[in-house]
Amino acid sequence: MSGALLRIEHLKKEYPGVTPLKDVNLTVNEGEIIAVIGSSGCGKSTLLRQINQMERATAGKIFLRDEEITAPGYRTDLLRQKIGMIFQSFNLFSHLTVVENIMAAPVELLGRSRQEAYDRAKELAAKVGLSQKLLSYPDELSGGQQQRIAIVRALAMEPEILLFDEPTSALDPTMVGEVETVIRKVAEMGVTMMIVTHDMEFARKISTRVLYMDEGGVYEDGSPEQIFERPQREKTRQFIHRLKVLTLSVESREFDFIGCHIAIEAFGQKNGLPNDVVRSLMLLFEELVTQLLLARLPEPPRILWTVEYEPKSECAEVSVRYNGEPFDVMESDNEISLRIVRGSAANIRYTAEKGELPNCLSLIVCHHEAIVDR
Amino acid sequence: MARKVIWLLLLSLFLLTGLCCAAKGVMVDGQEIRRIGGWPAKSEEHVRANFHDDIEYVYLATIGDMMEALRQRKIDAIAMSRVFFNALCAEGEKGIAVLGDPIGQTNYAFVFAYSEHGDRLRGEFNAFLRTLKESGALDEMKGRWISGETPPVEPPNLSGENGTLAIATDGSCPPLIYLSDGKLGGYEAELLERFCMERGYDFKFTVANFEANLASVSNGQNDIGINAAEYTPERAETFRFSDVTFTDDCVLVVRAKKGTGEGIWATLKEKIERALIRENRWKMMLSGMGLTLTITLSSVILGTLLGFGLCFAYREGYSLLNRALDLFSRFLAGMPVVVLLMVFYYIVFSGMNVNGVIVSVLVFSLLFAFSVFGLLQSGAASVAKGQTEAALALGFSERQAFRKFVLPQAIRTFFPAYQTEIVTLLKSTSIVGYIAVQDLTKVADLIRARTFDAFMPLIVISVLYLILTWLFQRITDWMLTKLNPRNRTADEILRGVRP
Repeated sequence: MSGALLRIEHLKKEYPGVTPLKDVNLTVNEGEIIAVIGSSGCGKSTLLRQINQMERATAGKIFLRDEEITAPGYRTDLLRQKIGMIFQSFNLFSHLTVVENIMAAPVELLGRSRQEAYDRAKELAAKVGLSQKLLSYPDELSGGQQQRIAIVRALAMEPEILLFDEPTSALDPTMVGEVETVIRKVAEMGVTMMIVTHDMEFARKISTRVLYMDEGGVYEDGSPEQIFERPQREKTRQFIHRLKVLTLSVESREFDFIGCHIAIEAFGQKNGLPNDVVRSLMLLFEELVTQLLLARLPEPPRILWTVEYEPKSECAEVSVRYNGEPFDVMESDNEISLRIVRGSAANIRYTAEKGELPNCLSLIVCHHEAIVDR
Repeated sequence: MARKVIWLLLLSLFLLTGLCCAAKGVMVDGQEIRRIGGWPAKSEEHVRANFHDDIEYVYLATIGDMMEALRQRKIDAIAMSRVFFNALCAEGEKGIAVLGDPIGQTNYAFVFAYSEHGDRLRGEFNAFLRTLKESGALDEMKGRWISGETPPVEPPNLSGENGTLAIATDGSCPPLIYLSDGKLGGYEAELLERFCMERGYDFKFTVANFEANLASVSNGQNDIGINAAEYTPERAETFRFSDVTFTDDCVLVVRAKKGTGEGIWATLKEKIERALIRENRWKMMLSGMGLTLTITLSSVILGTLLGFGLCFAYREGYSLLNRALDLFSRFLAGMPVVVLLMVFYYIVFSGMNVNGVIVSVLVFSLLFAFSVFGLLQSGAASVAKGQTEAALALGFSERQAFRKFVLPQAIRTFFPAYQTEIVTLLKSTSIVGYIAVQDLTKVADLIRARTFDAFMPLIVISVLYLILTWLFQRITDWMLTKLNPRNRTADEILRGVRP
């Protein structure tokens, strides 16, 4: 078939009570450096652990160079010799020296001579700047040094693909840089890699392709430019901009008004919104929903109020969708309320769409020092 | 209300037990006696018949123990046959005297099995005993031995043309039966030798404690039990006694009124001389120590190997095997070691001519193997899971990951517990005397019985056990330094490599 190194078809992984992977389809080509991103618990690590068969899939197939590795009776130990893995917590063998950590697998599993394995270990250790530490024990090294050695240990097996499972998450911030530099160096050597990471800057700089995982699968798959600058899908965008979202829906004139206010306040507190933004949001909710919309909407009224807050810009984007004939709420005759709305928000825009809630009013609330740049 | 009743009941129960247990005591020849020590069986019957429940009867295993209890005023008198009193005096014991009149008579006899073979042998022996009585030779023998002297033993030359008799003895009731430099002596021994000479037998003997001997005769492992066994009708229900070989008065032995006046150093010197020098008893001590060392060391080696084997087998994950192992280890843990030892010797290997040392090594190896197995399991559990994951991710199999990476790291938590287990094992081997093995403890028992001194042999074996413990500690400490991967030199780490 194609020159694909790795092919995943309809992969499903189920644990009792939770299904992190529902249906994963993915093709990895040789030489690709893939960053896998997504919120915690979205199945990124689970996916990696399926690839080297540390865990067995509930359903679906995985092929390595067109050979089905999920087939029953496939020798997983031989498979893993071809797939390197780097762990969050390094997992160097603590009773062995650095050089023995690197030499063990090539000597025992690939049948290399000790001399050959040693020379290679020394060469690789030099590449990551640790040739002086060959006879040290892991607990004599810093976390960053340990992770560099763990990468060398995996490389010494000359794997076809390297899997990184959050390689910098357990590190002191001062040591993240050295490990990332080493990973970049390995990438330049042309090794195919999949990197699960929470570090967006790093993912963007190093990768040739980014997978955003959500809803139990690969939600969006694209170049780093696409994913980080022009995400095509809603959840990717929310994740990339680290958007905090609050949705309130009103379906009766006797709705829980106080409950909605408390929800806005709690949302603001939880996500660190500036006080003035929270105050504006509460004011807008009151004026738009209770004063303007409920006065005009047919029975039963339906309003969907969504706030997306981006911590970086300190701005909240509000969208108010409502039912009824198309009409712009900003053209009501309640001048006092309209003035309050105009005074609290910017970029007020009305659009009419098709669907159940055809009216959409969008507006932006910013911290008074922030600059609106959209 | 109900509570008050319960309290009252408990209180009255407590008072009642107090009343029952607190013996009133009796006056014998102007001396107050509250507690009398001795063997179970005949002496106890005599005491009960004479004093009813007015005194407390204390069971003691050897004459040495009785003497020590008497000296320390734990008991006021010993009920024993006069011949043993004579033997005590002959051994140089000066601080004792016979109080009042004899309280009864005790008959001694040989013990045979309730079997065809036992009956035939018993018939032969009884016939022989009759001729000896008629010829007056038995009285002549009694006259010689009643004095209590225990001369060195000259083993007779026996032809053995009609076979060899297996004798079970505790060898600790001089002058009726005793061990001298590894040979059997005493009135009963002479009787046995004469019988063998007359009927063309040879004999070999095994030394174990009294109860174990009787058991080994009744299940056919031995032919005759020679233990200065007192005849009682109750015992006769289980064991077949010969005709009475010896009858003696049962007397009360008490502390003499006046002290001996000997200096403490002289006494101590004499005690050491008796415990170690006389009849080359130090050789017995050394051989006992050697046997204890042999049993412990063999069990440690075999048990460790087996324990590792069990651990590897367990990890293969055959559920049936694992269930069986769990069950068996629970069974072993729930049994007192002494019971296990006797079960193996008298039931599992019943009828087979298996050496007690081998059975001991077998039982202790098994016990030790299961402790090693348990320790390895918990040691392995203490190693971080990431270590196994890393090994698996590199392509090692589960088995390789365990042996090469988990096990070497488990040693650190395993080893201190392992050392403790070894010392525990060493100490628990002290019960092998129950199955006729003369280890250090059993040797001390024999010497105590022979010298009537409980004190010095106990001190000596305490020191010897401490030496053994220290020895094992040193060996295992050395092993730990050898096993610790951190103690390797750069050359060892880089063997086969030109840096």
